[in-house]
Amino acid sequence: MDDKPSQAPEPGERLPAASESARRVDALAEDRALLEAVRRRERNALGRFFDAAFPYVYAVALRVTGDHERAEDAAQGVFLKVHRAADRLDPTRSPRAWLTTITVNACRDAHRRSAARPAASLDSLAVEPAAPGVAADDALLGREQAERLERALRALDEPLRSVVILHDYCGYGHDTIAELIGASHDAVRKRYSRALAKLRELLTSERE
Amino acid sequence: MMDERRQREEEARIAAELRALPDPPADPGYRERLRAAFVSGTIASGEGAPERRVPRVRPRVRWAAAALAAAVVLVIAAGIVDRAPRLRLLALNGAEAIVIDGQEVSAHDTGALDARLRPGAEVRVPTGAVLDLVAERTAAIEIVGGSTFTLPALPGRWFARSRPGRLDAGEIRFRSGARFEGGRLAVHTPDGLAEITGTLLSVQCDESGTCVCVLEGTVRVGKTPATLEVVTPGNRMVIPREGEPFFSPAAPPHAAGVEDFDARIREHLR
Repeated sequence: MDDKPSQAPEPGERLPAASESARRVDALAEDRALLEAVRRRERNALGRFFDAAFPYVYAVALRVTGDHERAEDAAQGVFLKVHRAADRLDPTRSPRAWLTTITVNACRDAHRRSAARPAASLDSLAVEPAAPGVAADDALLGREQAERLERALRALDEPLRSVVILHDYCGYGHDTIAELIGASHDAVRKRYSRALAKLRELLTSERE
Repeated sequence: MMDERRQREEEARIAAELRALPDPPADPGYRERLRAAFVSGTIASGEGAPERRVPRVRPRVRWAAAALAAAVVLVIAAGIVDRAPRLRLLALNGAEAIVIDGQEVSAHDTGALDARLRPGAEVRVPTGAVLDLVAERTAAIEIVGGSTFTLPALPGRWFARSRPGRLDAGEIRFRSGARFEGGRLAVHTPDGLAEITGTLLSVQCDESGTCVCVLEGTVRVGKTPATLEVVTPGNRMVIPREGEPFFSPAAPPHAAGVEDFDARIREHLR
């Protein structure tokens, strides 16, 4: 895996970030001084970087792997690579694409390492209730509805789940996803289309 | 055409829901350890890699384990509550020592005597002596001199309601207490057995056979468990070593001994 930060896809390619955690990572790009300090591995800067990046990294890892243990393995691998490559971080760009790339790759590594290990209980992925004061749009999903969607996501095959998470949860376009996961644009488009169709089918059958 | 449009709308709605999914929470302990390792740099040296939390236990396994643990606790608690009090030394008269499991134990060392008078212990009481044992509110047994008797455990409250003892020679006298009710004690002899279900009686055994003398309650007596017959108060059953069992009125000397035992022991059973 190449963990050079300079290989990040262009920010213009992605869709508007939807999740709060993704927006917090993007906001890091606005604090150039902080990213410079991260490059120098200053402890205070590393702490702030971790606080901003961890929720996003963990959320992506958990949704891609569908398992807390593998997500923890992956998140650990991500922050190890970030620390090692910190001096090569480009302070002029959002580190989110870079984080996403190494997170997806770390998920694959974690999956390979634990292929023989059964996934943790689905109950462990229960959705937390929305925090008070969350904007109406963000709190749109009821807890029950979100849990149904999480269940359906976990029922998808990993390649389909990765693409739909990268597209709709992380907010990336097909081109960027193709670059992130090393697949062709067409393959990503087809996977995304199949993933949505499968999710629709699963959610419909559960409602019935 | 409409169906296809509806499908597209449905998929667009799903995509919107995916964008609005809340972030899943991480284990706070894990997060803190990872943060500390990242900030300090120990994550890169491999020294401070955060220790993974204990793998999650599947809820089904967790429930099964909890149910099993609860069952074990219940069984242990039931076993403790169920256990009948054991027979303890009340008095030893007429002997300087008795033999328990082949070892002589001084009559003056009451602590050692009581400790060794356990269920399953074979007790030999010398001729002319009398050993009285009592279990609070449950039963009292007198072992008459010249007897060899293997002590029984007493029946539990709910479980193990039937317990065996063995008289190889001599005489024992038995009186049940209130807590014995419903229990069974089988006294085996070389000639047969007496199944005691709560009563006052004596069992004698010598080389000619076994005699079970009943003063109160009823006892079932016979050569084998399949041939037990009821012996009513004031009667006895004799099982000759050679020959068939027969009934007769309780022998006065035996009855007198049992009545004397009952008079001495009664207050200790309340």
